[in-house]
Amino acid sequence: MLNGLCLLAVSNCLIALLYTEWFLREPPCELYMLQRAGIILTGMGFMKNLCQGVKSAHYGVALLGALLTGLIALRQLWMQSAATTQSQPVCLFAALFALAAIVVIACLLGLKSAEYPGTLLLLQTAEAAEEKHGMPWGRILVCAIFIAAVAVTLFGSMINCTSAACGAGMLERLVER
Amino acid sequence: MFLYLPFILAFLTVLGIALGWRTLSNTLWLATMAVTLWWFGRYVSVPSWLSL
Repeated sequence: MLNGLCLLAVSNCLIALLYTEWFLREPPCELYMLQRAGIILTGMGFMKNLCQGVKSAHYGVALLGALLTGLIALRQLWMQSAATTQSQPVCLFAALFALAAIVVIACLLGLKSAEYPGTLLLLQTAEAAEEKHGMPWGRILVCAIFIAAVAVTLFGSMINCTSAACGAGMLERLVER
Repeated sequence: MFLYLPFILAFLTVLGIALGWRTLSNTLWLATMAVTLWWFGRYVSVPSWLSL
């Protein structure tokens, strides 16, 4: 249940990032794309839990992805604040969304660990006892939404992130402005 | 072109997880993480023109 919620949160974050790029005309940059990759890496851990059974290693996968995403987002915010001469934010939405997603995931994991006090091992055994009834349509639907979000992100990166848009990179764009 | 690489690997990983290919999906996950970290490594050093 909680893994499904986390995967839905990750999928929603990806969809929100696509929305900011396509409808709010937020220009893509490399750090922006890397944050998406980190968010997808986070979602993979929850998807592994849903598809291959709950394991501590899968939570580790999700945590590593979240840490990487947070690192990239903080780096972007730091570079943004360092470029004090700039009046317009560069890819600021992406960093804020990534940080918001990490907060949501951390809250959900914290909720879970509060529910079962102790380690991730306890968390694993607690979920392993769940019984399965019939076809898990909810899991299939959540995984399908995540796969679709990843596919659209890949498609969007191939369409929008041309050499003109992404080739220069964020540092060069800061210099040009 | 290389910017597509993490997403292509991620998509293949997600498909591998969905299809139940554990070894392949674990390998692809590692590859995705490595490519993302390698790309992010370009931004770790602070450029000289950027005064902090």
